[in-house]
Amino acid sequence: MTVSEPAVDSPGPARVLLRGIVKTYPGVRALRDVDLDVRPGEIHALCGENGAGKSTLIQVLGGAVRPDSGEILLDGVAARFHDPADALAQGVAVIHQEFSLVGPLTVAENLALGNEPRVGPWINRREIRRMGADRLRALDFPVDPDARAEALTTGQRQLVEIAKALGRKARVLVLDEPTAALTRTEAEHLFQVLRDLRSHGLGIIYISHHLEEVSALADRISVLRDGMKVGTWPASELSHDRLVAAMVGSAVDLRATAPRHPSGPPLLRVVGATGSTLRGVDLEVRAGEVVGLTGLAGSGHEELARALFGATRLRSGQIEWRGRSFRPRHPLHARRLGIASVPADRRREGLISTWDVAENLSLAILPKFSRLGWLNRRARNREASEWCDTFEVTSAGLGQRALTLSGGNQQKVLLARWAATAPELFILNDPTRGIDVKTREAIHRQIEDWAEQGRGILLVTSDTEELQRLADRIVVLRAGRILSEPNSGRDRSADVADERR
Amino acid sequence: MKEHLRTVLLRLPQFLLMIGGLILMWRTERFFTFHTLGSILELASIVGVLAAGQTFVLIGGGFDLSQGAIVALTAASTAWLAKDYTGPIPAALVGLGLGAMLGAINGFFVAVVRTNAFVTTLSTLLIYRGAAFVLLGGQPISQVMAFARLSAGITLGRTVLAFRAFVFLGAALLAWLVLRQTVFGQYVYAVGGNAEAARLAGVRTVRVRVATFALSGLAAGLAAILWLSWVRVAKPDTGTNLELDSIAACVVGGVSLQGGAGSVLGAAAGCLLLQSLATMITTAGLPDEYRTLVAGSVILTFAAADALARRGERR
Repeated sequence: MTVSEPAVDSPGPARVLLRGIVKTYPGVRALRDVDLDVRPGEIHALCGENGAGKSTLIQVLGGAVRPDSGEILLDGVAARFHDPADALAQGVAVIHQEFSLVGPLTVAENLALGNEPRVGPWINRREIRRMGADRLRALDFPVDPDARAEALTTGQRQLVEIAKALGRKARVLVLDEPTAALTRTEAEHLFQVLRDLRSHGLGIIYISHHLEEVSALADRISVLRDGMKVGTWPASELSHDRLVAAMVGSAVDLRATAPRHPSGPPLLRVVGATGSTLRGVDLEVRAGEVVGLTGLAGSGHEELARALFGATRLRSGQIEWRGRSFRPRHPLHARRLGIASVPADRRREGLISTWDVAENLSLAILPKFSRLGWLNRRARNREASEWCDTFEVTSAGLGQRALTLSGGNQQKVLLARWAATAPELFILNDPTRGIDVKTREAIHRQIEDWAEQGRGILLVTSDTEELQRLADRIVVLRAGRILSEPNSGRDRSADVADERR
Repeated sequence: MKEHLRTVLLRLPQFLLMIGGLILMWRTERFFTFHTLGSILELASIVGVLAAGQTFVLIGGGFDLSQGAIVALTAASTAWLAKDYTGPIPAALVGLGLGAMLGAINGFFVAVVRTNAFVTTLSTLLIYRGAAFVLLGGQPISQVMAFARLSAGITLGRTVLAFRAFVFLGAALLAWLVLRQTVFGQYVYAVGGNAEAARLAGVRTVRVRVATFALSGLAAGLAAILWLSWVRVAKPDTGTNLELDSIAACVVGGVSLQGGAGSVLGAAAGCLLLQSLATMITTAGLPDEYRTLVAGSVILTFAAADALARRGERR
């Protein structure tokens, strides 16, 4: 990864200066006297664990939340935001993880939304198209202005969001986890765009859990912990370990495990799998080993993981489970055989939004608590509470709505849901995406423990660090075929990392 | 504790409306008598049974507009059987089975073919009612006495509470238990809350969804029998608009049209509330036309209160 260019030093006032920001919610001091300054032409990263106060700070900056005290200065002038629209009008644009584009409208129409050029009472469509195309060309964004927003890739949508913000004359751009859903190439392109914007004097605040990204991209890094700012450092002076230590507050034990030596026949064997993206893939997972499966988005690893669990069907190819032919037609079949699959998208594919912790946790083992279909709630709650203890789920109780938990705790609930089925094989899809460092560490240890107990683990992830740390072997797919399978993941992981770039 | 308080606060508009309704009832002369309350329960029984079935569909994330038409078709076939061919019990069983089957056809299209629930049940509403026309040849079957015994009942003081009312209470209680206390019930909530997540956790979402529609059809079959016991006539236009009454009862009872939330007891309470209003209007001597006016306003008020409560929830 390239080293970032040095920060553009400018003597003038900060693009944005936050001074003594305090925000208290009932029972929680979300922000305690936080200062932050972002210079013109700077990419300023904001790091911290979940609950450290990052999102509250962004909400304050974006006008969504009014601070109890403290002041905001834009280019040296005190500013006060009534709502997000007001903040945008004054030059602060926040780009959230959930995008605000209108799907059925074209890119150009989205860019002009709320600001449409008119001829008399009529909207001037030709002018909308021309303005949109001009703006995208000026920014050198490879997006078709006539494409409908819903047809764009996530990376393209992000670019359109940025173009939209810049169209409102944004001086400060805040990006919240922008690469969470991007492929490697899309992310690289985004970084290039951000570096360009930096050279035009924009102040950019960049929030990410992905520390490698932060170190490579940012000029300075501020770390928040428990609602307070720990400090601000030039990115070049902050090593990865020191950054993590600043976030967590104590040194994290990045323990190295001894290589595992799984033996015996494979639990799972795939021969010649083909599907809509797969073009013939072989794969084996033995008991007690962690096999990494990765590739660029659309390379087939996502489809393979789903097919092994019966969530989609392969076009052709053989799957064997413990030496027996296995054709899963529904996730239930896979679950009954002892296969667990923890999905990547917790909100869409994992949690039942209307349900509390106990209900969500027990979804896959409900039949266990029933006699003739009748549910024994007390037994269920007892077991759910035990699993919450085992996985150290922090919640207000079993009755808390699962969606109101932090991302890390949501993931723990889902891991517990599947651990409760006592599976022999775990298929883990991006198990630590968007999760804070401490929980990430806990999840990694859990995966290691599972492998030690002799369970097979198929780790499907786009996180290179994670693969390096956990996988015994790494299978990389490209365009539906196996690109390489280094014998020892940990030794050859650099090659893999290169391929992922 | 805090969570409980929040739930109460979220439901505050509904509570206030309930209290307002009770006060109104109190002020209405001769409202709190066995006779009035019993007649409300009896009158609400048909819509109440339908609402219990509709609750399954709504919580599972669906929508059933065909209930009234299923009532017409099952009433026609049951009446035809009971009048000339079989005893009341075989006829009733055939009616219930037919209702469940017609509902399952809805479920098949919604869950397997994946047509939109609204469009599907709107189409089958027309188809089932058309079939009732064809079956009856345009002629009503009258003097169906087979189920008249349901109109008899238990004597309470000077009034008689018909067995119909007990059928409604029993069906509602059973439906409540199934939804609340069984694994199948939990799966219905799961499918309505997040169908994809439920499927990936190993829930047979297609079967669950078909089952909810079949139960709604079964409820319509039961409602048809209650209808025959009361009116004793099966006509092609029997049960017109009953589906709207049952959906309204669910909305007033707090069943979410988004799926995943609500309860049968809520729906039953909503149904009783709407029927009480209707009765109050009649006893107050106002013309019948006011009933729809008031019912519509109440439903909209409840829906608006619910939406406002939800808005507070999102923050």
